[in-house]
Amino acid sequence: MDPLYLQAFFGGLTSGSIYAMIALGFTLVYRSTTVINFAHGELVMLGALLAISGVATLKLPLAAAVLIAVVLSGAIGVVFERLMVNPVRNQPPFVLILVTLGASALLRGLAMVIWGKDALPLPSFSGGQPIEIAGASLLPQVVWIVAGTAATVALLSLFLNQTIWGKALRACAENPQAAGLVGIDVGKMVRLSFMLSAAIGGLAGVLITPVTTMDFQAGFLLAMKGLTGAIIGGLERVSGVVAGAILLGVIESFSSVFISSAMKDAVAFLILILVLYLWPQGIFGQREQR
Amino acid sequence: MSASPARARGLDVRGLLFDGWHWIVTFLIIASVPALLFGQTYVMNVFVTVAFFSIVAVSLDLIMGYGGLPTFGHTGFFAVGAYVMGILAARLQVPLILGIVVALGVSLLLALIIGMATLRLKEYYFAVATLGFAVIVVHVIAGFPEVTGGWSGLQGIPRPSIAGIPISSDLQYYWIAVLMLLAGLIVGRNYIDSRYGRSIRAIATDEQATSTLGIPVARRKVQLFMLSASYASLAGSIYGLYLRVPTPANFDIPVMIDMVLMLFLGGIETLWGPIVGAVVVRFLPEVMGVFQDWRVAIQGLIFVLILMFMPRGLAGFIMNRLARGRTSTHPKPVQADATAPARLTWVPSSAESAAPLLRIAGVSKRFGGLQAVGDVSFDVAAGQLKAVIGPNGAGKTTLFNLLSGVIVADSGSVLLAGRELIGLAPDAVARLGLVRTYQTPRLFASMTVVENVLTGRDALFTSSLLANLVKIPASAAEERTARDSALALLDLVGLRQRADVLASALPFGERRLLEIARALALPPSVIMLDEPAAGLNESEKDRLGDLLLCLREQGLTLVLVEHDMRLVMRVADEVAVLNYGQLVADGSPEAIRQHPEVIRAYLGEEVTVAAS
Repeated sequence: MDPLYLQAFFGGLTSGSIYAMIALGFTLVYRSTTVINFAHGELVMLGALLAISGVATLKLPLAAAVLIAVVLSGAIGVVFERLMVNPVRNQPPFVLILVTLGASALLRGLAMVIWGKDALPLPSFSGGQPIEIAGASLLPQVVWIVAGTAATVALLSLFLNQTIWGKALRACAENPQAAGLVGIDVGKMVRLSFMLSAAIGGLAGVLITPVTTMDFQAGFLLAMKGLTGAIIGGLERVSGVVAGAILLGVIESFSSVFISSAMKDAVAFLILILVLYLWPQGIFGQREQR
Repeated sequence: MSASPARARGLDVRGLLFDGWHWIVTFLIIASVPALLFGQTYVMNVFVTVAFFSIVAVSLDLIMGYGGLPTFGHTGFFAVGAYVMGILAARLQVPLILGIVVALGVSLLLALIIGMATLRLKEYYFAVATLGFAVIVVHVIAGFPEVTGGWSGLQGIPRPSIAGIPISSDLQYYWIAVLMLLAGLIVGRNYIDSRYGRSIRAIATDEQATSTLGIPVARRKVQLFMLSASYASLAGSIYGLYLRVPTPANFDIPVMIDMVLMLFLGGIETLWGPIVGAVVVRFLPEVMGVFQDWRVAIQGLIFVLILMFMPRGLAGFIMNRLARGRTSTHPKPVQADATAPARLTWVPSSAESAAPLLRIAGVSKRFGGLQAVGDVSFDVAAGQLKAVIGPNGAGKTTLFNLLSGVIVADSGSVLLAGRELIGLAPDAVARLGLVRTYQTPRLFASMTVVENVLTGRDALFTSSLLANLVKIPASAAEERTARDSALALLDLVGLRQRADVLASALPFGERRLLEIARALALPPSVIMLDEPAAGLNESEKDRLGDLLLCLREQGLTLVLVEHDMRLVMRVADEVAVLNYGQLVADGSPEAIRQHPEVIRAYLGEEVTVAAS
């Protein structure tokens, strides 16, 4: 087999994994609030920039900086929910879309003031020497990315399906009113979903930065891709969303290798339109009334 | 302060500013101020961009403000306008005007595709798809530098000239943009005042109710999206000429956020509000001086705060100021029309034809484990008033939803004058002549009483969207005719005096009557009324009964779901009884009264206690 295929697949797996983590963030929030958080990409960007500051400015060990960045991301998610989403919770979706979009501009603007306009690097988690596999080269960071995504998906599934908190979260997603009636604190569950969403997003940002660097406006496009993946996957189920996002990453990577790298972003968008046209429930979505 | 001289003399400031042709003069006077004061200075270029951005912001008001559809793709169309025109002119020596037209065509096609894919789904998908579109356009432009010039911009667009005069100065572009903006405002106003604008406002209020009046909802949304995109494309073409070397950065996401901010800061649903917003947003960086770096953050903050605390924007604030002290909006005086209430004719009054007008055969619907409607069959003859009764949860409203196409039946057939209705969309069902009302009236609250009825009549209009945009005499004449017959219908239900009152201001009983008038406007061959007497007092119920009998008298066929037995027994020709989704009886009111199954459904079974 032409190593080019394998190379394209590695590339797709890398971006697809990142899209999957971001897509999960959209799904978590959407399921508990039916809000699409258009500022989610900025939370991804903040996570990465926080880790960069931890390493570069505070001279923390990488592991500590990453951990702190992820925890802070989760905290930012909760604050974000309190300040931006909660005040307009009962407004029509239209207003929520706009508020989160305005919030994304606010966060981008703040990040630009704090970190400047330049793209900033983060060291690889374990060396930068590519690994050779069947003629294709693989960055060690990619292993971290794929493993991190797999671990996140596994832990999240375990949490949602096995713990009482996860079950409460799913109950809120199913029917917030009924969940409230059986004694679940719906507000707390909404904050929890924002916290998890932002923490996973922050982790995604931290994982991808050693490969791509990060700047104040990079989160937006990443989030668009993650959201596209989530929509392809039907937006609601963890497994569907992850599959949709990875599929998007792989298609994107192959199109950039075999068509043109400039078309990469256009391809993602074309897929989005095509999927919405042919399968409004997403390829991996359940057949339900939208 | 409170007694401004204008008001003291009884002058209606708002009327002077915003009514008729006055506003055009007002607009041109205000627009000439910057030209006179700053015509030759650097500041003029900010006003030029204000004018161009205003055009796009006004188009955003049409789709987001009036239409309630969140779109973030207009920088994409703005860029398509500039780049398609620019590439054709610079690379292929295509004449500029042709380039502009081709760019418009490309934008319309793209809007059609995106709209058809996403506008039938929840608004999130439309928002995501349009946002994705805006992002992708920039990336495609940047990704093909050999064609587009990439990030450094598209070189070589020829200088335009009009009648031999080269167009190059800020002032010239300012006036071109201002005249385009004026045209955009006139077209936008025509649209909003037309039946198309009316239906889009109705859709924004209640999509389902609008579709059951026979209005093709998705089609209207796509049309609006295309109209709005064409503003952005045309403005983009001329803006591209003004820039001379357009770059992707001129059309990037921050620009899109600026545009949306202009709309919401300025104030939605006004058309002129976005212009105010554009002035503020474009001048913000000019006055920020050393805080330039904070601009993006501050704009984002303003955006969020406006949405949370000032949803009507600056325009709403200004309007409130102007309206302060005035008692209320004056409804236009109702002309006492001498003509007697027109005798309305309902389509196929084919009482002599053998087949029933409406034939329901074996219709079923299951929701999970619940058989909501199971194998229900009955006929309604032309000119008949059929009542459907049954205890709560018997499946009556589900049956109406199945007949009107709101939900799709699992099996069965519904024939209206021989045509199958099952599988048709609600608007198609209505246009074939079957319309309905709802258990709780679903009126368009922010529209007047007569506008509600006119919306119900939409399917009878023949004028095209283009004719309405330029308001050709034929479309205006059609509107007048429609208004006359809408008023005649209001006469019939006794709401003529209320024609120009907002529907939200009506008391409950009158809302019921208005909803019936709206459903009659099509006009239908069969009308289905879902518990029209619920919530009415005795005299209102009597009036309703009179109205139903009068409608049947005139040949209309009616299906009535009702709990009020006195009303049912008074008006119904035949009664069908549902219980647990099954048809348990069907016959004359007298027969139904005696029917054992009916007595059991309503009063419960006689319990025989077995002695053990």
